[in-house]
Amino acid sequence: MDCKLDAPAVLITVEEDFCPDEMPALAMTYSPWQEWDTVYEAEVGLKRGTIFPGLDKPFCEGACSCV
Amino acid sequence: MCERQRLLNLIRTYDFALTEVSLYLDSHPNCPKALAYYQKHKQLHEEAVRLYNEQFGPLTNRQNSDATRWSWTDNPWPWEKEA
Repeated sequence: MDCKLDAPAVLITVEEDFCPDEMPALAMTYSPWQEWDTVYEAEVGLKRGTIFPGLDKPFCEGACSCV
Repeated sequence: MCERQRLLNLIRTYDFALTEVSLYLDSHPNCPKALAYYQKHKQLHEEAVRLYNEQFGPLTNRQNSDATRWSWTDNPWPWEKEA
């Protein structure tokens, strides 16, 4: 990534209808629409922290061994 | 595991399932499967709370059913171990 040292430090004005063309944008997220699918039994859901298998994404410090 | 602990665990379990499906229903208010899941677990939750109240007293001060005494403060708190 270029450091862009010669870029102006401050933008004074922004043109109307200005649209940044550098993608991906710094802060833009996307989530697919959730659909109802098979869910966990309530007992399993409490243990896993969600009743939805699609949202069951345990945090593994570092990286999962499966990676 | 004693009966009191068993019922508390059941109530926690159904309560969590209800929280989860409620969040889903917030964005999918017409999903019949989610509504059925909600109804089923709401009944299970209510039944477990009823059994707990009968045997071990109120879980919240809204469940004080004794008209002659404020029994809410008589019982061990729900998070306390066997008294």
